[in-house]
This record gives sequence, C-alpha cells and structure tokens, in this order.
Amino acid sequence: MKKIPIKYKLLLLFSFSFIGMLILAERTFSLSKENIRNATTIFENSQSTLHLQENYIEPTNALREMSLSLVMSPNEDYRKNIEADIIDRRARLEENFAKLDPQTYSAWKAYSNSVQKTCGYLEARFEEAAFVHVTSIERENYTALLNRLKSLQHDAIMQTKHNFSDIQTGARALKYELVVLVLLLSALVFVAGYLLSSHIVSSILKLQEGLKEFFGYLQTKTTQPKPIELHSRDELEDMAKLLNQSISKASATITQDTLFIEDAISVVNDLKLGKLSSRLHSTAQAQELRLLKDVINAMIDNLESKINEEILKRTEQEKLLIQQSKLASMGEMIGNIAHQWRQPLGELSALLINLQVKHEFHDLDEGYLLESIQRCMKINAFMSGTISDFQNFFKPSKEKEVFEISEACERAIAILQASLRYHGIEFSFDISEKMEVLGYPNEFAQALLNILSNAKDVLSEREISNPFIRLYLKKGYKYILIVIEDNGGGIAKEHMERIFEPYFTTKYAKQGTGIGLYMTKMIIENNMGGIITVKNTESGALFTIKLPSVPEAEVAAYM
Amino acid sequence: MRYKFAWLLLFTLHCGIFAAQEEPYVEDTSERHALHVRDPRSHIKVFLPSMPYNYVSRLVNEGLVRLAENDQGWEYALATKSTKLSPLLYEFELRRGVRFQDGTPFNADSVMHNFHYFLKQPFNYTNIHRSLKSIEKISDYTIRLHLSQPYGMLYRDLARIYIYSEAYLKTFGWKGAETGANIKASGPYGLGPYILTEGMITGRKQTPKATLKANPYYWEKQYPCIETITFYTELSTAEALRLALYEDGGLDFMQIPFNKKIETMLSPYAKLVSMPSTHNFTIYFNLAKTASPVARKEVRQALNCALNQQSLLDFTYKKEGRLNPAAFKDGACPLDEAMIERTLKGLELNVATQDSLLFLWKGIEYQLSTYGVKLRYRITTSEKEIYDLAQKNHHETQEWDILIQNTQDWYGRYPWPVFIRYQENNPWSFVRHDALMKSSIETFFGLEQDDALFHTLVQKIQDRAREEAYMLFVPIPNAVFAMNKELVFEPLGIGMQPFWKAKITDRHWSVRGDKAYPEELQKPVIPKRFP
Ligand SMILES: Nc1ncnc2c1ncn2[C@@H]1O[C@H](COP(=O)(O)OP(=O)(O)O)[C@@H](O)[C@H]1O
Ligand SMILES: [Mg+2]
Repeated sequence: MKKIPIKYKLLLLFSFSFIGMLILAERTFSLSKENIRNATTIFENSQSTLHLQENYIEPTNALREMSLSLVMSPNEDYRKNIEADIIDRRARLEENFAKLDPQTYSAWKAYSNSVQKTCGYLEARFEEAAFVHVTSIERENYTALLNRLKSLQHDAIMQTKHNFSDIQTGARALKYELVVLVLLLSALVFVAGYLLSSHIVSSILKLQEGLKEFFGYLQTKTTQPKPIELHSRDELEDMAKLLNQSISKASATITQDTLFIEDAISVVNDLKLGKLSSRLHSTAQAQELRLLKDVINAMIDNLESKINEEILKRTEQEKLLIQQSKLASMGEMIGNIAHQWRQPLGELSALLINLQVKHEFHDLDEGYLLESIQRCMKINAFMSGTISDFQNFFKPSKEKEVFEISEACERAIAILQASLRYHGIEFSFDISEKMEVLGYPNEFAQALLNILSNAKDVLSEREISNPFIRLYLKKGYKYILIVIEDNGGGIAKEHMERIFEPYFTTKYAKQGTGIGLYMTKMIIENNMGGIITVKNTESGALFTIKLPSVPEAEVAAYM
Repeated sequence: MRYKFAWLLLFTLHCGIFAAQEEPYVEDTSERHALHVRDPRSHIKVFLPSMPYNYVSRLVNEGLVRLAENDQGWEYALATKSTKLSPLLYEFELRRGVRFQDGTPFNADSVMHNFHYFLKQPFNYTNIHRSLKSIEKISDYTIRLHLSQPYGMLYRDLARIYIYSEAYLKTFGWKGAETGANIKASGPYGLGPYILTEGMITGRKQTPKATLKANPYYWEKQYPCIETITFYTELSTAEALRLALYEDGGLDFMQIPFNKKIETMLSPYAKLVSMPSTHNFTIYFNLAKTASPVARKEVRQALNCALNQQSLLDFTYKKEGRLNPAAFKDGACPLDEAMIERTLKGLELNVATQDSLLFLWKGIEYQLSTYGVKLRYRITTSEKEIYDLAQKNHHETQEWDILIQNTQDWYGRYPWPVFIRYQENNPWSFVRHDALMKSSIETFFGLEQDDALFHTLVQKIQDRAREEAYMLFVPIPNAVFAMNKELVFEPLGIGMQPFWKAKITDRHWSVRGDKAYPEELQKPVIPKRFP
C-alpha cells in the first residue's frame, strides 16, 4: 500500500469538520432569514395595533368625551366651542374610518350619526333628549364602535400572537434540526477522527513504549531494548526505523563505555588502595570518556610523582621532628635524672663523709667499710638502673607488640616520680585490671610522659595549691580509655584547637618546644590506631586516649 | 369567522334599533283626542304640595274677578263689568243666572252679605283691610265699593275675596287671617267650578286628601270638563313621582323637582311641561334675632354677593328658571371680595327648610362653603311647620337665621307676594324701622298697575330690598310639571291652576275601562315649554 502522510490524514479530518460546519451555517442562515421575515410581520402587526389605537380608538374616545361635555355644558357659550371641535373631529374621523372595512365604517357611521343627533337635540334646546340620547343610543353606538375597533385590535394582536407562535415553532424546529445535524456531523467527524487518531496514537504509543524501554535501558543498562515494531506507513514508521537504528548504535556504545567505566572504577579503587601504578587501559566509545581516560591517566601519573615527592619530604621532616622531640625529651630527661639522682647522690656523699670521719677517727672498721661499700654498691646499682631505665625509655620499640598498659604507665611515672614529688604534686594512678594493647610500648610511654609532664609544667608554673594529677584506665568492649586529669586551670580557649600542632607552645620563658603533644598525637593515632582528645574540666585539663583493645584471641596469637 | 357573524348580527341589530329610534320622541297628540263632553267617570288626581289651599280655594270658590294670565292679571268672574267712579268708588255689574253650588241663586245680596262678614274679619296680608271702607247695593245685580284710600291692588284682592253661601258664613264666618284660604269644611258652599265634597284645606290645617266634584250649576256651562279631582296634599316627593311617572292613574298632575325632568320625560304615563313662573323661593333672614350674624347688613350683603346666580340657575335649577332682578347684578356688590371673605369666614347659620327644597340648599351651601360658611339645617317635611316657625318668630325669636318658604304666586304676576316681605308689621315680614321702605310700600298700595309711577316705584322698592339685603335672593324658578299624557291642560306659572278648563282624552285611565294603556303611547312625549 502506498504511504499516506499524517498531514493528509489530518486534512481529511479537517475537511470532514469543515463541510459539517458549512452545512450547519447554511441551515442556520436560511432559518434565521425566515425568522427575521416573521419578526417583521410581528412588528407590522403591532404597528397596526398602535395605528388603531392612535387614529381610531383615542380620537373616538375624545369625540365621546366632547359630546358628553357638550351635554353637560350649562350654556350656549360653552357649547359653541365644543360643537366646533366635534364637527372638526367628526370630519377627521370620517376620513379615517372610510379607510377601514365596511362593517367598521357602518359602526362608525351609526355612532357619528348619534353624535350628530345629540348635537341636534341641543340645538333644538331639547336638553333632556340630548342627555337621554347621549347616555343611551349614543353610548350604545359608541360601545359598539369601540368593540368593533377593539376586535380589530384583538385580531391584530391575535395575528401577532399567531406569527409569534409560528416563530416559536420555527425556532423550536430549527433547534431540533440543528441538534440533529450537529449530532450527525459530530458523530461522523468523531468516528473519522477516532479512527485516524487511534491509528496515529497507537503508532505513537508504540514509539513511546520503544523509547521508554530504550531510556530504561539507558538508565539501568541491564536488558538491551528490542527494536520498535511499527508498520503504520507514515512518518511514524520512518521515525521508528530511525529510532531502532539509533537504539542499536547507542546500546553498542553503551556496552563499550560500561566496560571502560568498570575499568576506570577498578583503577580508582587501586588508587584508593595506594596502587598508584594502576592505569586505565580499555578504550571508551565516547569522545569524552576517551578524554577522561587520558586525563585520569595523566592525573594518576602526576599524583604518583607528587606523592612520592611528598613522602620523601615528609620523611625528612618527620625525622627532624623526631630528632627534635628526642632532644627535647632529652632535656627534660636530664631534669628528671637530676631529680632521681639527688637523693642517692646525697646518700652516697653522706656515706662517704661517714667513712671519712670514721677513718679520721679511726673508727673505721672493716665491717662498717664493707657495709658502706655494700650500701654504695646498692646506690650505684639504683642509679645505674635509673640510667638504663631512661635508656630503655628512649630506645625506640623495634616492632609492634602486645603490651600491658599499666606497665607502660608505670614506666612513665617512674621517670617523673621524683620531679612530681619535688613539686609537691599529688599523683594518683588507678588501675583495676589488666589491659593489653597492640603497639609500641616505649613510644606509648613517651606519649604518656609528654601529657604528664605538661600537667606538671602547668601545675608548677601556675603555682596551683593542692595540685594533683590523676591517671585512670577504663576498659570497654572494644576500646580502652586512658584518662589524665589535672587541676592546672585548663587550656585557654583560643589554644584549644592548636595544642596538637607542631611547634605550638605557650611556654616561651621555659623554652617550650611545642612538639610534645604533636608527637603524642602521632604515636597514639598514626602508630597505634587510637584517638586522643582534650577538654577542660572545672579545675583543669582532661586528656582522653582511646585505644582499640586487643581481643583475647589476638593477644594469644601475638604471643 | 364566528366573531364576524356575531358582529354582523350586532350591527344589523343596532341599525334596527337606530332606525326604530330614529325619532324616539313623539308629539303630544292628546289635544286631538280630547273629550269635550264631561264624562261622569272622568277623574284626575293632583298633587300640589306647596300652598295647596291656594290652589283648591281657587277651584272651589269664586270672587267678583279671578286671576288670569293676561296683561292686567285678572278677568271678570262673578262680576261682568266694573267702573272706577272715583279713586275711592268702584261700581260692579254682577253676572246673572249664577247659582251657588247648593243651587241657591247669586245676586247683589249674596255679595253684600259676604262683604259684611269680610269686613268684620278681613285677611291682613294685603292692605285691603285698611283700604275697603264699605259696600253698597245699587240694584239686584249692581254693587259699589267705597274705599278709604286709593288702592291699586283692589282687583287682585277681590280675586281672593270669595263669595261664600249663606250656610257657610253662618257656620264659619270669614276669618281671613294670614293665609286667607277659607275652606274649613267640605260642602256646596262656594261658587267655584268644583265642589269640595271631601276633606278640608286652610292655610294652617288640611286633610291629606280632598275630593272635588264638578259643580253642576257653574255659570260657565262648558266647564268643568272633568267630573272628579282628587287633591293630595301630603305625599312625599318620591312617592308622588312614582305615582305620576310609573303608575297609570297614580297621579295626573304634579310639580316636579328640577332634577326629575328626564325621568318624567321618559316616563310611560307622564309628559313634561315647563314654563316660566312668578313663584319664588323666599329666603328670609331672621331680622328679629339680634344675636344672629344676619342681623348685620354686611353679612346679609356678603351672603348675597357670594352667590353666583347663573351657576345656581345652570346647575341647581337645571336651567329651569331665570335670574332674579332683586339679586345683585354681576360686579354690583357693594362689598369688595376681601370684605366678603372676611365677613363670611367661619360663619355658621341655622337654616330652616322643607326637605323638598334641600336641592336648592345644596347648591347654595356648595357656593358658600368656598367662603367657609357652614349651614346647619332644621329640616321639616311640612310646609305648615315652616309657616309656624315664621309666624312664631314675631312673638318669640326663633333659632333659625335663615328660613325658606316655597311661595307660589298667589297674587297673579304682581309684585306684592314679594313686597309683602318688606312691609313693616306685616305677619310675613320681619323688616323694621325702614322708613324709606315703609313710605314706598304705602305709596305702592295707592298706585294702579298702569300708573306711570308704578314701575319706578316697584324698581325703588326692589332696589331698597336689594341694598338692605332683606332676603337671600335666588333665581326665579320655572314651574315644571309631570302631567298625564292623556290630560289636556295648559297649566299656569302662577298660584292658580284652572283645572275647570282641563280635559282628558278617551285614552285616559279614568275612562279607558279595563284596557291597558297602549304601548305606542308609552313612548316619551316631546316636552312642552311655555311660552
Ligand atoms: N595539662 C595541660 N594544662 C595546660 N596546658 C597544657 C597542658 N598540656 C599542654 N598544655 C599546653 O600545650 C602546649 C603544648 O604542649 P607541648 O606540645 O608539650 O609543648 P611544650 O610543652 O614544649 O610547650 C603547652 O605549651 C601548654 O600551653
Ligand atoms: Mg611539653
């Protein structure tokens, strides 16, 4: 079958409607013309009613009124004028009535004569007869004439009524005719329109379905869309064909691009895992994706080199920092050692003075000497133990190990003990159960030490009365909390954010380094996977260290 | 179509009626059918409510002369000739062969006898009682009258000095008094064409009905033409009209109110007759009542001025009458309009009237009401009561401010029945202390009617009365009658109806027998107007 464009299909529909409209217009026009003709007749009828009223009824009434006035007139003077009026009016009415039908005319004649008769009686000065006549015969003739005129008027009105009802029936018929025509034509147009439009619409629906499927595919990329089956032999079929081509082309591209994107995702995942060597290899169909591929690869290249560079820089810095920290610790350590050694040194010199005195006084016996040596040896051993303690403390842990927190704590405390006592700081250490964590014990102890010595610094510097430091541990299901609290007045609000930054210090007079807390944070968070936080209490600062506790099994495995 | 037919029918019907009624009025043909010989069955019924004694007495009685519609106003009756021998001496020739109703002959002795009684008890409403001195018998049929002063009204007075039979005079005497008529009992006592056979009628007393029978001895042999006349005196106007217009044989003759002309004309049994009269509506002001507003001349003048005579004539009299020469002419009122208004405003007057004259009062009241005058009526149905109210006023002042009397011209086209109201000390006048009027009237009595001065004097008296506004003057009414169509009679516009000359036709109810009155005769008769 030949192809029929939609344009022609629609044209057909419009032609139907147009012809329908033409038919309707023609009918309406011809009928309204008829109505106008009828209305004109009505108008003429009412004109004639008015004409009767104005030219017959009213003047007749006036004549009647005059003749009555004439009879009522008390004397000749009055009568003369009225009589003249009557003659005049009768002549005029005579003219008018002559134009009407003979029946009306003779009624007029009868009345006119009776008026004349009334006048005649009065002229003969027979007033009684005039009165009787005017109230009987003249009145009767008047009534008859008036009734005749009224019936003429009535006829005219009836005619009007008749014409009016004609028009009404005409209008009603027109209404029905128009209704039927409209119904018929609209039914025709509707059917034609329905057939055409359903044809077009079903094609469009099919197209829509196909497109929907295609767009669904574009979104989900799961099932490949089937081609649109459309044989409407019009533009829509062409469109469907075009669409089908596009769909197949698009789905091919999409498959390739999906592959490419999957590749890209795996590359990004590699990057996430730190595998900077991973690169995009597959090729995409889309120009943009191809560009993206180049950009990503270049970016990764660049990133890789940058990271490497940074890492290098960082390592250097770290090293420097650690060095600095160590140096700092060293300084502090020396202070601590000084405190540790003050008592044994005093003891040692007292022993030596005693020996010297005993020797001078020769009271030096062997037993005492030996005993003194023995005691010196003991002090020496203690002092040497202290040194090794410090040495061990600063020895970096070789590798991660499971260790007892309390032990590490005790080591830090041991180092600080003398100094705390010196400053009169009350220290409490509350530990209830055994807690083990995985990490570097020395480093952890050092971190702890940094916190404790800061508290000590604050307490001594601010000369707090009844200074204290409290350390306690809490064990949760997954974490272990280590809390260090003092009553040194806390950290100034504006410093709170910055105390973990490297080189941040408020102790310029005391040659603070600002590295302590930075290191501590590094150790806890980077090396041991924990979290350190600080907040102010009512009286001072409170540091909390949260470490993942090592489950029993894991602990066993490390052993 | 149906309508057209109906119209056609109606139309032809109308034409028929029109043609049939081409002349709905017929000529009065009664004269052609008049019976010239008196039928013993002939009978007419008459109703004359105003001064009936006056009418009856002129039928029953006769004097030397009688009133007549001629230039002098009288004609010879029992006298046949008179000679004025001097201003104070008159000689009368008497009619021969005249008999009283009882058959006794009439001669100079009858006259002498009667005048003797009269001079003893004369009537007092003219000047005869002061002017007539004596009577003298010259022969059996000649007498002479001696006057004490010249008396112009002599003949008219003689027309009222009836000659009664010996029998009557013996029983009743003359007793003229204020109303004169003197028929105190029925019986063949007079000389008139009719004998009063039933009832009695005087000026102050009457029976409701009087029956008159033809006098077989009447000297005019061709009269009377009708055997019986029944006179009614006290019918109500409505009843009388019903009888006259709608009942064949109900009433043959009556005076009708002006507003009943049309009904009369259209009536099946009656015809309308009208003529100028010398009657008048006498409207007195109570000059004796000093407390009355009308005691003041200006009030009386204002009342007269306030009346529009022409309107009264046109609307109240239905044009049946003429203007009263005694009334103020247009623009001749001595008071200006403002004065009239001021004088009349809020005026309240008591009016004594007969109910039959209320129509006139409605007209007067309508006109006066525009000036704020209020009238209070004392209405009576009896003329006698009006006479009483007037007469009693002389002895004891009555309440009325205005009193109306329907005066029939009892004197025959002569001014006296009017001037009597102005004469000092006359029982019918309340005028006092008017020397001018008094002397004028005295002069008037002495003047003959044909005297050159008579007319001037009449004018003078009239002018004086008008100026003093002694009366409330209204137009002079026509005499309007309803008369049986079969009655052939020419009534008079004076206080006398010569029924002895009346005839009936053979179609008259009294002689027709059982036959119904023919339909064609029931058509309206064209009214007759005299003159
Ligand atoms: N317990 C504390 N109470 C008050 N301030 C503290 C406390 N601990 C640390 N700080 C503040 O934090 C700063 C940084 O500490 P840190 O890194 O150890 O450097 P340094 O001790 O050399 O100043 C200190 O200068 C001090 O102002
Ligand atoms: Mg520090």
